[in-house]
Amino acid sequence: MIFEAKLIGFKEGIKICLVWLVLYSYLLSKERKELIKPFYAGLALSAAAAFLSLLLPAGLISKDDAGNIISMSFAAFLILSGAALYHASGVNLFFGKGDVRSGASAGILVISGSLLFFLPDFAGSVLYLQGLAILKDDLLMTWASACAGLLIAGIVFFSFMKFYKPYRLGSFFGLPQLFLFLSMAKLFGGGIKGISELSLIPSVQRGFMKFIHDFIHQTFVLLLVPDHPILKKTAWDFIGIFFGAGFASAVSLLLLLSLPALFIRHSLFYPLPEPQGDTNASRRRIWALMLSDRRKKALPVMVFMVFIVAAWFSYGGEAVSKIYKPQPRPLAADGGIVRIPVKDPAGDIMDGRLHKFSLFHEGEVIRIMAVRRSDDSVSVCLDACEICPPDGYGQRDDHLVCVYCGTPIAVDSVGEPGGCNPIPLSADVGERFITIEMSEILKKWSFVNSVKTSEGVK
Amino acid sequence: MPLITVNSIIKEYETAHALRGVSMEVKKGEWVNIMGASGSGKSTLLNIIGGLDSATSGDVIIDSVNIEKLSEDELAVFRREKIGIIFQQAHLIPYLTAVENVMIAQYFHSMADESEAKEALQRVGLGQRLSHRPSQLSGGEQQRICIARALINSPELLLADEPTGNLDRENTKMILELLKKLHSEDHFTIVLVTHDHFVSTHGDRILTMEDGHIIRDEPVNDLRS
Amino acid sequence: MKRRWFLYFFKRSLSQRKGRVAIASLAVVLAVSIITSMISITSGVREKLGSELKAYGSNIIVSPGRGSSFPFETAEAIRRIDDVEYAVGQVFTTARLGKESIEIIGLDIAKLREAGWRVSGEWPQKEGEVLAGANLKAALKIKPDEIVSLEGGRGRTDFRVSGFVERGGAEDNAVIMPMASAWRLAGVNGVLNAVLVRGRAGGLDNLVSEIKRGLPEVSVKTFRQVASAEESLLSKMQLLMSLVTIVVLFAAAISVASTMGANILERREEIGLMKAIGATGSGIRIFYLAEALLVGFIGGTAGFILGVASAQAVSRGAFGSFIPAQWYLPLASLIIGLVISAGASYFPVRDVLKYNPAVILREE
Ligand SMILES: Nc1ncnc2c1ncn2[C@@H]1O[C@H](COP(=O)(O)OP(=O)(O)OP(=O)(O)O)[C@@H](O)[C@H]1O
Ligand SMILES: [Mg+2]
Repeated sequence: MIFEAKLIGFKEGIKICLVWLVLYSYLLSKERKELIKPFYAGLALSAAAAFLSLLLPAGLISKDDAGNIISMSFAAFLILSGAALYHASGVNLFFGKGDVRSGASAGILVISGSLLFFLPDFAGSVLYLQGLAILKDDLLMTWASACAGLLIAGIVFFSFMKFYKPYRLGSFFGLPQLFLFLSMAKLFGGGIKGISELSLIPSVQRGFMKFIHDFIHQTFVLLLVPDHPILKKTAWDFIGIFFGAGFASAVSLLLLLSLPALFIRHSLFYPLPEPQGDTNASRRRIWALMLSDRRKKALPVMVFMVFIVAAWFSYGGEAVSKIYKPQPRPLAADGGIVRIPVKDPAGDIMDGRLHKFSLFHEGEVIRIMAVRRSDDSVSVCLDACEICPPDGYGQRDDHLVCVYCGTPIAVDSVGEPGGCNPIPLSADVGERFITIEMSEILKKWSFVNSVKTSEGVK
Repeated sequence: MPLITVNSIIKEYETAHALRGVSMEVKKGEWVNIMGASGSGKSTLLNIIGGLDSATSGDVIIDSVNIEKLSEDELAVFRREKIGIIFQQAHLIPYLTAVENVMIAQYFHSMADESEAKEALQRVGLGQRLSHRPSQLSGGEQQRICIARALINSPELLLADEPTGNLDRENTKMILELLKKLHSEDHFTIVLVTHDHFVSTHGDRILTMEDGHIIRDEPVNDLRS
Repeated sequence: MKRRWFLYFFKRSLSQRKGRVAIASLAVVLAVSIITSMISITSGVREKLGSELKAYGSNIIVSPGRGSSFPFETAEAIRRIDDVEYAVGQVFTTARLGKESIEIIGLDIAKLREAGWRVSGEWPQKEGEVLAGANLKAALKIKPDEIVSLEGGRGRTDFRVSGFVERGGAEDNAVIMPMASAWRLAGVNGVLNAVLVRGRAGGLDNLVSEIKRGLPEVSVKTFRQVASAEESLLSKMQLLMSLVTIVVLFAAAISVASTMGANILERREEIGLMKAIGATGSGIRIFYLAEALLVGFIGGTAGFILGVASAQAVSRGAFGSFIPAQWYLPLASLIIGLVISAGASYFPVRDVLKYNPAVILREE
């Protein structure tokens, strides 16, 4: 059995089960049980379409595309849940003029909703599994493992249901909560390779930073701010405040939390009608029921908030401690020589931040990094030292930090050999290019600790 | 349709047969007294009607619900909505004041409401004793708190197990007058267990038990005459 | 509203048993503080040992095989071996600065300049000038050119801090001075405690055996060997720590469970009555659960404070330095406290279900 494939199958299975459970509970409490059938149809269609996507010419949809679509459908459900909340506050958004509640149109809505939900995930997983099958050179085993994982998920879920009848969940989920749940299921179960699509958090963050940047930039252009050097400087300092990594990531957290917070505010404080009843006791009881219903609806949202905060701290949280880990940019050797552009659209090595590059060599990924020292010289090293497993380095203020052992290394001392210092490469730093001999890289790479990285085999 | 229908219930303990096939009916708004020698099964019957205990066999149908079929939590809900209980001992919570002892019943029913609880205590004549602890009150006063507590959630049925058993004549009279007044105002049903013939002269009907059976069922007026 | 009243009645019921809660909390405080201090000491040691070696620009460490020092000439002998890029002899000692005990590293300052170290401020030029590590600077608020008075084995000497180094390693916690000054401070002469060697990468194993051949009485290790030795030491410490943790957890759990059990037994009448007036089992249990969580919260927070304080005291005694705080520690302590307390209360609180009001209320 191929563990990875099994994990993917398991993940998809659990996701299906959870979504089914919540949806079914919701429909049950709304007495629209029959709408579970279109859900099944949507599920089946998604699976079929995902497999059909394998027939598309290779390269038409990449895993990256699937990932992007998953992010987008996460956002779609998040927006839907916000819209449902708005709807719940009295504005008739969903069931406006035509009666969408009628059988056929509601069914179509459920089918398309489940397609929107499952198709990108399934397509991503299928693509990944296909890739895995090619890598492992065992088509049958890969798919068998995935199916086994799916089956295990089903068994786990149904044995859980035997012990615990969870249909009461319905009272926790209104339509907004349902959509919010779906988007969370996306966030935590929507990833292609691993368990989660937590990278959505940084991507939200990046998107947000870009938005602020563009916004401020456009404002400056529109206001025709004179290009006075002093003003320019202060203006950019001002923007710089916005771009402080800590600030941006804190804002991204706020952004992710603001919708749930709105939910909770709504759930806890929406006005209740004056209870009617013959006796004080019956009025009290009605009032208490309304209150508890209102509070129950806030509960799943709070759970989601906890999840989001936990996820943010475990994934995006490194931005809090301000360790910057750049994504390596791919390089290729040309005639035994590797050339890194000093300045190109993807980055400027002289900007003082850490830059990483990756080089494929005989099935291995060799990571190289470059950073500018305070005297404007550039130090080029491998992204590994001689001692630790090669997890590489991140940047914190004017230090590099070994990801494995946490040792800080002053940027100005990067390039010194030995110890936990990154292994220096002798490179020729020119005006436009940094050139390194491939043989030098390979020689130095052989000093790297060849045990496993803490995340897997090197 | 009677409020309470008890259908041939049997209650067996390991060491004793407390009830050996009891059947009875109580109409809505009726006040029924249960009398009988010690150990004849009165308390057992009352507890079973109140859902505090379950019968070994037989049905207890209250307000058209067979409470013998209810789960533990459903029984709790049944008790809080339908039943008020008074015991011989007051069973007040010692660290709570008089009002708070009433409020805790509101709390478990739905939610506490202090002004309503105060009003209820005024109704039983304890308007001056609102923030006293049980230990600072007399037996009669304590029992009046219990009545307020039992009736605060407007139950259909008030169960009382020797409510005057620990009281002197004076207090017994006062409690009975109070019950009479409340019963005539709120029209709930009363099932009251007592040893005391004086007590049993109040109300509509007297059931007499002996050795786990109901042996007599007679109206109060008949007994008087 | 219901919540407000829950808190209201919870406070009332709590006021009856402050003593009990205090005792149970104390048990949790002790357990959490022991666990917290152990976590912070082990992870502190890990970070400290790690930085001790790794950030040096060397890859082999030569240390005395027997005793704690070897003659000064050893460094010269090593330097003569081929493939040795450089070898720096070092003297380690400690001195008191005011109340603090700090580490002193004595070495050939000129070698540092050759190796490309950067200092902020001036390199020591004359006798009596020293460099201070960046952490020391921050911790003791040393200003440039400040005169520090160090008290070593041979009495008190004044030094002028001419500059600061920041390397991310052990140097950052130490005062670095010329070898001769360190000797004088420690009251020894002509000895070294270690020689740090940089060999050409790739041929380290050969170099190690070559040094051993030339100098059989010393111990020679590559940094990678040292690192793995550290790892195994750490894993032993962690094993010990987990054993102690289990014992301590167990003791605290028993203490909380018995307090809670007594508590619930004592309140049988009240519980029976609450059931009779319509409380569900969970409606009653939530009061005891809240009490358990309160105990856990008190235990977790107070235990964290106590644990960190004692860890700092221990590490100052044992290592002569503070250990860095772990950001997750407060959270972990709180969770440990809550879990011990809630977990230990589980069984006694479950008993609430078993109480039959008909039976309990019959008892006097
Ligand atoms: N929990 C119990 N276990 C065993 N036997 C019990 C239990 N509860 C009641 N009994 C027995 O059941 C019989 C009826 O008891 P019950 O309390 O109903 O009598 P009672 O009529 O209320 O008496 P009293 O007037 O003294 O209160 C008695 O013989 C008693 O001993
Ligand atoms: Mg009795």
